[in-house]
Amino acid sequence: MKKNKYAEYIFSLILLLIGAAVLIIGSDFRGNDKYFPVIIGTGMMITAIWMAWEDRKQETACIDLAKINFVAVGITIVALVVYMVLFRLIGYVFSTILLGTSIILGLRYNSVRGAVLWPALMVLVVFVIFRILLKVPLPVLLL
Amino acid sequence: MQMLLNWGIGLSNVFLTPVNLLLLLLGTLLGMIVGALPGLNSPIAMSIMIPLTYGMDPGAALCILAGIYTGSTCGGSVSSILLEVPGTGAAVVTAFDGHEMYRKGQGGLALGISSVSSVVGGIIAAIVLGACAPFVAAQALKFGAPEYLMLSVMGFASVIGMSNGRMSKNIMAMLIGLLISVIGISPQGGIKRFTFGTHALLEGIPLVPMLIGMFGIGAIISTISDMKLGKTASETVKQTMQRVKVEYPDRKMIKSFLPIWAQSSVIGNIVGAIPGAGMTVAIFMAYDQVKRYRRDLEFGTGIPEGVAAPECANKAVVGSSMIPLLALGVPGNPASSLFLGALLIHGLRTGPKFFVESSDVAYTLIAAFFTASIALLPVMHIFVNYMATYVLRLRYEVLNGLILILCVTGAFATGNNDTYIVFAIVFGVIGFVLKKFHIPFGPLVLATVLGSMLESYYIQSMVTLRGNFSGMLQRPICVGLLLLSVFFLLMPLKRFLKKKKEEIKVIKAWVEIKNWALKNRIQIHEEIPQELLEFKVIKFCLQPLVENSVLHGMEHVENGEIWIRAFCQGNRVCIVIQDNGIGMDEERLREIMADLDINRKRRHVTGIGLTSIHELMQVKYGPEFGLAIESEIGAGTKVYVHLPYERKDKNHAEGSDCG
Repeated sequence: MKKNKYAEYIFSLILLLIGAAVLIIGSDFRGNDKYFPVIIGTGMMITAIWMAWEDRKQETACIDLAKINFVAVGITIVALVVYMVLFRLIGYVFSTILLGTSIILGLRYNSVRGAVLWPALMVLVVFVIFRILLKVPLPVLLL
Repeated sequence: MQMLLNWGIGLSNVFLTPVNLLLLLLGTLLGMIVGALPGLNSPIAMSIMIPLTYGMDPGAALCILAGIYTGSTCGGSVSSILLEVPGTGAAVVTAFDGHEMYRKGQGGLALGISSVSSVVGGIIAAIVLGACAPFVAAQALKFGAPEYLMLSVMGFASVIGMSNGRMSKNIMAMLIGLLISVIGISPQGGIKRFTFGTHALLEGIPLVPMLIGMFGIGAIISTISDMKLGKTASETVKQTMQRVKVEYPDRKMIKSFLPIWAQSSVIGNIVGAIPGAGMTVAIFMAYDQVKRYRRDLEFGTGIPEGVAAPECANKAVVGSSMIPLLALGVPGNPASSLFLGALLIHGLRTGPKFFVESSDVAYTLIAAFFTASIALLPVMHIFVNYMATYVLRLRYEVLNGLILILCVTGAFATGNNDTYIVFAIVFGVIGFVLKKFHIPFGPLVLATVLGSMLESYYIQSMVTLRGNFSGMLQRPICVGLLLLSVFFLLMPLKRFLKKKKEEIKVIKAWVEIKNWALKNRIQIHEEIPQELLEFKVIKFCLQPLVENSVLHGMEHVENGEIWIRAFCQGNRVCIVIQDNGIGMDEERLREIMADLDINRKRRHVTGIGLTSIHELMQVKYGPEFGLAIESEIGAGTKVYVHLPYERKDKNHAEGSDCG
């Protein structure tokens, strides 16, 4: 319960810091170009404080950390980050199949064969649509 | 005459072009499948499909997107009726009566009513869209830079004022959107802003990868975060869901629905046309209205009218939500911002000139909504009769993986650039975090779209008005838009005052319940302390519980009695509804209690509306609140409603019993 409250405060604090950064960077811009960033930065700082103030008054937090499956989220984000790297190294086809397979297996799908076959099939369909029909140059380094 | 001609062009582009018609039907079916799957919704499907429309002509692209948007709103009702798990937010209210009908063996009829009501709502909305959008656009052609500036301000005011939830979060969403919009080279001085030396950010954040990230990847990460590893919803569906066939309402029933459809479509069209108001507002309003209109019916117990009203209203919202986008270039909700993204890919921009410069595309979109609404009938028939049970059994582990593949591929295809994948993934993670902290996407996307426009018009207005902003007050349209902005910004205040009134309504609700129960020769006793008579409760939460006691517990009880007590317990209020009915055996009670477990993917057992009320309370107040039940055969049932005690005056409350 307390953790949820802290999470909300930390979120507001992050937004406050982003607002401050926008304000500091924005005030260095010349002439009319600085008006909007300054307004946005100031607005974000004020609103972040307002949010934290409201959070303090509310008895229950809007976020429930206990209900978030951090393992699954972590697997997905790591898989996506690795995918960004692999995409340039080994091309679309293999990296995308790996992405799909790792996420499906990471979510504890009980069939390894299915976890490979489904993404492979999807990549094949997508590849045909994009590369052949829509002429999108998907990188295929290893094909 | 010109409008009829344009309608003719639009309809011929849809009906007489086989590819467009086929794509529209496919889009409707795809939308229905996505809508039926809880956790997935139309923005996800649309964001995935936008890159696919890259190689199509704009008409075809809009046909498939209109089909998805329309189909998904209808698909949500399928799982709502069959599983009591709304596939989309638009179908939340449909579950109240729709699932009850399913439990009574009228699931097919509920689905039939849902599809016919959807057709009616959709057709009316398409006609309203076709009549209003060109008219509003023609008026907006007279706008200069100051008017456009005020229009942008009004768009923001409307989204902030009309959105549900906390105003601070709506404003924060808008500011984040504005921040995104200022990234890149500035429109006036041409300087780099927030690019951090990266070439990829010079042109700003590309809209489509951002939308794919937020609505596609972000939603999938969010779905994954809610998943319990090892448990599958599909197995439960396999075990419990009966196969149903669509049954259509007869002529007499249709006749009785006519006034309900009329009032629900009026509500849907008005609410839908206001940026930010959203579908949820419309469905609750429509349900509320039909309850007032048919006071003789016991809503929440499987009443067909309870399905017809929200289903007609949500489809009316679909069409009318496009009015601000097409006529003014202001996307009022996430789905319409995706239409904007799709049009941008084809070099088109909505707004007042859209009906002049690209009238064929504009009317093709309107005709697509019209046709998709008609297509709902056969598509839903096929979907429910032959596909629904299979679709609802799809494994979420596989589905999430496959959707992510489509998202990253789509992001790449938008610009043939792997940096776009990075944008999509980064915004996916941002979207997930914002969603978890209840920062709404609507104001954020609107601000991203309108941000650069707002800045340009601000600079132009300064030039036009020679730096004197009071000149705005001499322009009648600016004054009108300013007043509208003030009106929208005051809406939260109005809602606050209305909330106060609703507290008092609780007392009136007791009286209504009492009168209704007396007709059935049931005595109601109430023991509610004076200070709790004005206590806030969620709408529709207590009445169904009392109705449940009567309908399920006292059918064969001669002298039925119900006690309603309320008391404070630490920092919470407990309302107890106790009856002297037949009670429940242990097994039934266990089933109901298990069904109240919000973490279970599929819950279906109660069928007495408890799940919906419990879930609503947990979502609104937190996991420690909601319902608890005690029951014994022959000794009656006690339902405990636990709510947070919100202290209005802390000092006073601390001194009271609740302290």
